[in-house]
Amino acid sequence: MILEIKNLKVSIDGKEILKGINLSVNAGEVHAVMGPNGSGKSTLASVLAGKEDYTVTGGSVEFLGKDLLALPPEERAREGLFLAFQYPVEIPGVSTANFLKTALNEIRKHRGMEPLDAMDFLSFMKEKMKLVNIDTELTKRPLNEGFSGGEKKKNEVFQMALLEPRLGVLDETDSGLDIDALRVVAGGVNKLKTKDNAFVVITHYQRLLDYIVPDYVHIMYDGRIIKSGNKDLALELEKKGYDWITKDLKTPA
Amino acid sequence: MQAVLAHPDIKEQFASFPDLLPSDAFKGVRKQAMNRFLSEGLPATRDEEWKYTDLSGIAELRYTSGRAAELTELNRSQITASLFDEQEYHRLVFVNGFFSGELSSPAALPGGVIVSDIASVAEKHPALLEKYFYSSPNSLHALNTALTAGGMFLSVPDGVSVSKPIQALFFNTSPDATAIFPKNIILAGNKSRVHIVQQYASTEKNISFTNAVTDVSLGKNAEMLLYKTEALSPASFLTDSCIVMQQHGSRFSSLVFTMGGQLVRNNLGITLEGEQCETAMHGLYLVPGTGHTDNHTFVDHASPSCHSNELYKGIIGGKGTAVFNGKIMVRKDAQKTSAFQSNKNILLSDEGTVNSKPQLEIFADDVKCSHGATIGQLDEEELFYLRARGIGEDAAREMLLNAFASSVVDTIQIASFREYMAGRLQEYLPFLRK
Amino acid sequence: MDQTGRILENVTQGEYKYGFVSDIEAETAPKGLNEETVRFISRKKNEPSWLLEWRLKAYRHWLTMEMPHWQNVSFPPIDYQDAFYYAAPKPKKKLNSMNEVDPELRATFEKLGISLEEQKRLSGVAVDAVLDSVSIATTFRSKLAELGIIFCSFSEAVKEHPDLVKKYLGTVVPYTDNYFAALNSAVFSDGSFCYIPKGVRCPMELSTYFRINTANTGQFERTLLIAEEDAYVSYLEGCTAPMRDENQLHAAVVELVALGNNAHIKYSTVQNWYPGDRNGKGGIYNFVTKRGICIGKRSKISWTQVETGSAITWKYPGCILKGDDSVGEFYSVAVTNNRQQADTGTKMIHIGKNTRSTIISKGISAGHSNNSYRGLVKISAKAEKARNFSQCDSLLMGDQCGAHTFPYLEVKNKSATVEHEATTSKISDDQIFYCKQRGLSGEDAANLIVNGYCKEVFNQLPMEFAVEAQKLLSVTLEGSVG
Repeated sequence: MILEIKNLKVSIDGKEILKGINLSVNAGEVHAVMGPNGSGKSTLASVLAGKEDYTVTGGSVEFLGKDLLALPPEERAREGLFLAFQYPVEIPGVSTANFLKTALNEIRKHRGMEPLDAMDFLSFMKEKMKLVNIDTELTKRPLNEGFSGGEKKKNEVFQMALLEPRLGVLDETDSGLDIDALRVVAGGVNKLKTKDNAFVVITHYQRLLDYIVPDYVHIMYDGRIIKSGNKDLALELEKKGYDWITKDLKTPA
Repeated sequence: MQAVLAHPDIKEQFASFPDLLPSDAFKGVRKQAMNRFLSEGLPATRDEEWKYTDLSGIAELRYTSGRAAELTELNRSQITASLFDEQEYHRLVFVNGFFSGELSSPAALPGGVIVSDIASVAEKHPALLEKYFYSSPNSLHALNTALTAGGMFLSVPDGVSVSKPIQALFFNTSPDATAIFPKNIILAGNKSRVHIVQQYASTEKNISFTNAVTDVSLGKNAEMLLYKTEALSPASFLTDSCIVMQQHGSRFSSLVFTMGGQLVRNNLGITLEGEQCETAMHGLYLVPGTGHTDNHTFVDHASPSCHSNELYKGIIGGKGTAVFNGKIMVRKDAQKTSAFQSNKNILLSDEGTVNSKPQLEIFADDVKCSHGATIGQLDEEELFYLRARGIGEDAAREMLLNAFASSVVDTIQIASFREYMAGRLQEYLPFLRK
Repeated sequence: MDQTGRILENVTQGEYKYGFVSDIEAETAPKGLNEETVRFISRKKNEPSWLLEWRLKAYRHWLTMEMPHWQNVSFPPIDYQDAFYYAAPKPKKKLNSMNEVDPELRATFEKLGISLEEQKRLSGVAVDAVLDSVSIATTFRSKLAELGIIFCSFSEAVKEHPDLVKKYLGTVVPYTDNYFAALNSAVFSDGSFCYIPKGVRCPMELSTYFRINTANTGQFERTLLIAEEDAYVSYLEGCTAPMRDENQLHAAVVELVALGNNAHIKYSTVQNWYPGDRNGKGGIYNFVTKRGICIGKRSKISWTQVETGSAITWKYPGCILKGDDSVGEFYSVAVTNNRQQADTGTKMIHIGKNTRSTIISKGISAGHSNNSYRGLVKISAKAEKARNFSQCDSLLMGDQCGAHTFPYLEVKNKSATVEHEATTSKISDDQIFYCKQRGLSGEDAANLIVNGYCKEVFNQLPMEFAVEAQKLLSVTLEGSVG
């Protein structure tokens, strides 16, 4: 078991956003989490990564047997949790390559591996760059600064390739991408998939799931997972729209 | 260390300070300057220009001139360690305010270039200096004129390009309170080119008050880099005035890098006398827990079609205080001016203080001018992003502080000096978090 | 002369349109200032002894003070003995309704374009009109009283609500605050008083129109606004003065108290006092102290000002943000033309946690005028997560004027964020050309551009004031708008 979320409740500024999430992810699996805007998908991703604005009011999250919620964000990353941000922040003055070398060596250290020197890092990085077809020029620029929307998302997937996480959480990585960029991003994820790692793909649209085929599909609404199924569920959702799921919920029980 | 007197009169002290300039040529003007200082004393905080910087600490010490200070072997090795590679730089060293021929090594210079000590120029060619012992614009400047005993004299004739940068190091070693008054004169002729690194440094235990004046003039189409570092002990005071005059088409670029010191005040005043001048002012101040750093800059657009660009950044730790006061003046006929100014501060602690006062005074309409100032902290989103990639919190903070400061360091156009400064920055950052 | 230059030339020649003198007999205090003047004013107004004592303390303190010099303006010294400190239209009898107002006086207001009746009817603005020193009539009073809102002249408030006045007078601007606040405290004549009780949202804009009429009269009005918990009020202040050669001194004090949680006070000023003639002769000296304090949590004070008049303006409407999460705003358009001088801005003093302030200042200089923004943003050590954003823009019209920006940012808390930006620009020939190519006249184009430049501030004004402000702007810059 890679990830086990039990009855997770989260609020921000006193308002409950997640109202009891249950989700188990095993090695080798791809889970898609879908839902309308405001259903709590991105909150779930942020809470998993350890963003401090949220208050966990109940439940637990186990990651590779450890209490994930007790760890600071960097420890979570070193343990092998990777969040591909929906809006990757621009950090002027920090070069992408230097940033990645620092991050990779921290993670390697945590795993008991020798740090890579500049030369080894460079060739390792080059190899990973091919995966997402990223331009060398991009790694010389300050982190995400002036990147287009597509470049930022590609950069996230490139970082995921480099840092080799056990669990990749993709927060609406497909949003704002044209079809070519979408293919590259999805292709990257497919190449990274092994029997030892897992992915949680958060998306609003079914479109991405044409390229990344999920083992499970979960539908989130109002802070809960209200329906789970296989990839057919996503197709059905695409056909019938979110109203199909939510209308049952709106009628009083 | 000498006894700290309860109320030693600073005016009295300096009135009876020895005159150590080996020349009688400037007696008159020096006397006048001393009288000016005696009538005004040190600037007080009721003066708007000194509103945020209190110099009264300077008056609490009993000073001697640096002549008496002994140079130990340790001091000598500390100074030697601060010198740049002889192959790459011309080096000029002043110890406790006095020129050290032994430690200096001006290599062969192109025709007509003079690099020397003011004291020896005053002794041998006083006429060269006449213009620079003028009636002072303020009391600190007057005090410098009255008591200077040395400083850098650099003169580059028309059309000459000095290929190697010049390092002028002012190193203070005395653990007894010393008062030092470097007067530097830098003259760049028409179409000349020269790069200078001016450094104020001291031993960790040094106690000193350095009151420096640097007069800079750039001839037509001259090009100059003037980089300054100030790395003084926690018990040192530095007040520095740099006065720059630029003629038509000249290009000037300055950098002031301050780390440490008890109190540092930098005045940088640039007058764009000729048209089509360019001037760049960069500053980086790292203010430790007990420090006070004040940068006052004034760029006077007195002629049309000039361009000025200013970026000052600061990181303030502990109980440190940073002051920035930047003024852009665009005179009535200085049309087609473009002037930009930016001051950015990061406050690391709850006890630190930042006072920023950017000013625009515009009297011409066809101009592009802007200034901006920010005071804040590291961006939480950025910090989270770095941590979410496995970088520890301290390391992430350092990385972001480095990135913040590097936009100033990156402007340095002398590669070896840029690398040196990047290293100093790296070394100094952890010190700010104490 | 280029295109813009010619248009500028045209617009700067605009003359003051409100220059006329009302022929109303005034009852004035003897010329000059001494303790007896202070007593005279207090006696005339039948004031209680505590107020006289307060005035006298202020007067004695004023004697010990010196005129401030740090402003970026210059003018000959003021002879405080050469002015009248009290001038009231001789009342024929007590006024109970608008109809009883002196017809001459009403005609004066009509000339100013503020027919009380019209305003009453059309805009639902309750007007407290102050002519020289005495409040003339307050409209809509009874309707407001039903809601528990007190809106009356300051003198009436002293008589009818002495406890409230006594409790809050001088709490935001103490008489020791500055030279002109001390002077005002000693000799203030009248002004407006407003109290909004808990939970009441004042249903209409409250308004005062000031006008300086009598020659050589210093006008020293005093305004005090108090809003309780969950109360809201929007207050408008407008000013005009007839044309006179001597400079007239105006030293008002305005105090706002956002007392309770969520209290919200919006204070808007449109000032078009006589700026003097093209050569700088005459005009009003406008030396005003305006300050508000946000005491309640989440309370808010917004200052909006459109300053087009006066020979010299110094004013810094400020906010002391004491309550946690309280908000201060300052929106300003200051226009100077001919020989006018303005040194104006704001002070935002952050004391409470999560306090926020916004400063938007637009300065426009034309002719031989000088226009300065001076603002202080102070974040005290305890103001956790305080935020300020300031944007100060200057527009220069012509090459004989000056625009200056003097922000002071003082921060003592590491979690605070303070951002200041300032730009200076002119109306470009390209912009004018573009508009002309689309069929606009040069002057219309310039007006359009200037109004666009001021939009952010005008948007803060209530509708009817925004329209007036735009008109004033084009009048002030008439012939000079490029």
